Amino acid sequence: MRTLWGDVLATALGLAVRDLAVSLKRLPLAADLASQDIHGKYKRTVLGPLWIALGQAATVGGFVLVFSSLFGLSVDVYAIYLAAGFPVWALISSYLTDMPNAFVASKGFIESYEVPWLTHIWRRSIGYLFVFAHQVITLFAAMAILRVPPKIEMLYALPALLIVSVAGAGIGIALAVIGARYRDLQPAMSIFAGVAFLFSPVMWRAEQLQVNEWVVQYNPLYYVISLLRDPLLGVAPPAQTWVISGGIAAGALITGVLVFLLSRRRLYHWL
Amino acid sequence: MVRLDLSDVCVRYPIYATSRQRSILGFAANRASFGRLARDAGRIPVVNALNGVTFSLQQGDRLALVGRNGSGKTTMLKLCSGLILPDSGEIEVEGARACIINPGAGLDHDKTGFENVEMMGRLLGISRVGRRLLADDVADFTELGDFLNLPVRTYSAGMTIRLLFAVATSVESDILIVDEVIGAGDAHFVEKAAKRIRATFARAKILVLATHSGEIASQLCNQMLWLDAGRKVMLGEPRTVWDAYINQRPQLEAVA
Repeated sequence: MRTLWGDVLATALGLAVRDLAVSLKRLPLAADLASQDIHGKYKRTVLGPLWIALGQAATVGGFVLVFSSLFGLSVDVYAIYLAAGFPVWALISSYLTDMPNAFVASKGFIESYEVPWLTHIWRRSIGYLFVFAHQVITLFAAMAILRVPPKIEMLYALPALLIVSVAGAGIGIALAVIGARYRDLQPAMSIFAGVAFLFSPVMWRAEQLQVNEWVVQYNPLYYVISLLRDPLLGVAPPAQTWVISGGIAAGALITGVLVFLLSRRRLYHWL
Repeated sequence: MVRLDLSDVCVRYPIYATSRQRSILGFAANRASFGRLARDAGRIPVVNALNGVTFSLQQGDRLALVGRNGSGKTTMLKLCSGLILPDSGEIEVEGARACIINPGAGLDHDKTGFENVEMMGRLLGISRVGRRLLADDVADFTELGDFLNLPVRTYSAGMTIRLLFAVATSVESDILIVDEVIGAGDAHFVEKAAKRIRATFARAKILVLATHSGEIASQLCNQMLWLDAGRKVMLGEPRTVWDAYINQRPQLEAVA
């Protein structure tokens, strides 16, 4: 006679694996839903998703005007730094603040269609990547205007993007599950992201920090941000960053999978 | 081989009534204070939706589910369609499942009728060829004409229901799980709709249908399950069970 936990995990594991397999097979559906989400937002606007790039340009411009002299940085350097860093931060922050709603917001779909739970995670991930791609347009525009030549190291951004996406998806699954059960997780994560923005070298440069270096050294977000930002700045990320980010991604993935497995039975009831 | 077997299945689910019960801070406060603070967060009421239900369906079986509101019919449908897992007992399913429980979900009011049909087709896993056929089928059945090229926002309630109904009844699957037959639209449409429902149900190898109509049940189904408070009261021939059921509910019309 199998134990109760054995039964629970056996069913949950089987379901979770099947969910993953079907969700990957139906990835085009996730992409379609993502496209629908985004175009829905910009439907009757003149610029459509190009508003994303415009908004990014305005933000970078504002920060450069106000903070470059405060930080003692030249406008050229700071503008490129921000144009590279903000999209990276926006990508990471999206996972943290938007994923808690992933299942809750899709309740109608989940009830009516045989669509895997994880499709809603991939759908949002693809959406974030789309926004990221549009925000990076501002970086290329800034590079063109300030005559900064592109470097081959920028190609490192692709594997970096993969690692960040894996980490994001992993933590995203956990957040989506917990966010289904506890509805105040999403506002809590918004506050957390706001604070994390200040504590992470997005607006300021890590080199500038003379005291309280622990803020950077023990901040996991620092490594993930650097991993993706360095290539965009034309620099190959150091080995240490790859290793730590890879570890974070693996940890996030395992956490996400575990949380999904353990809550699969109750998940529908929480919606 | 298609089958749906339930064996002594129980389903319980929690009801989150107060905001503290849905709050991670409430949960933390309750646990940290050993139940002193945020008491309602520690005591979450549980509904015993299904209590030990057993039945066995094979190819060709059409089961009607009847019972009062709150007797567990929708929970039973969601269990059969795989949304909910049993807390005890076993459910065994062989064959592809599809459900018609909430056809309005996934409807995007800013998209046109055709665009919505396309999206729902994708969600239902219909191939590109199938979706083209679906679009023609929906246009033909709903008779909405040019409205299908306008956003659903512009439709009347009846038109929207016709569209949803058309898509929902195009679902093909080994096992079909349906929550109440939608009844809406003018007389001409109701006649067409009835024929279409019959055709849809006939295609399924196993059908589980929750209904409040004894007539529909006896016309479309070969078995009836009467649920009350999550328990099986009676399982058998539709007319027999329905007669027993309405004797407890005299305000429902008898089947002729």
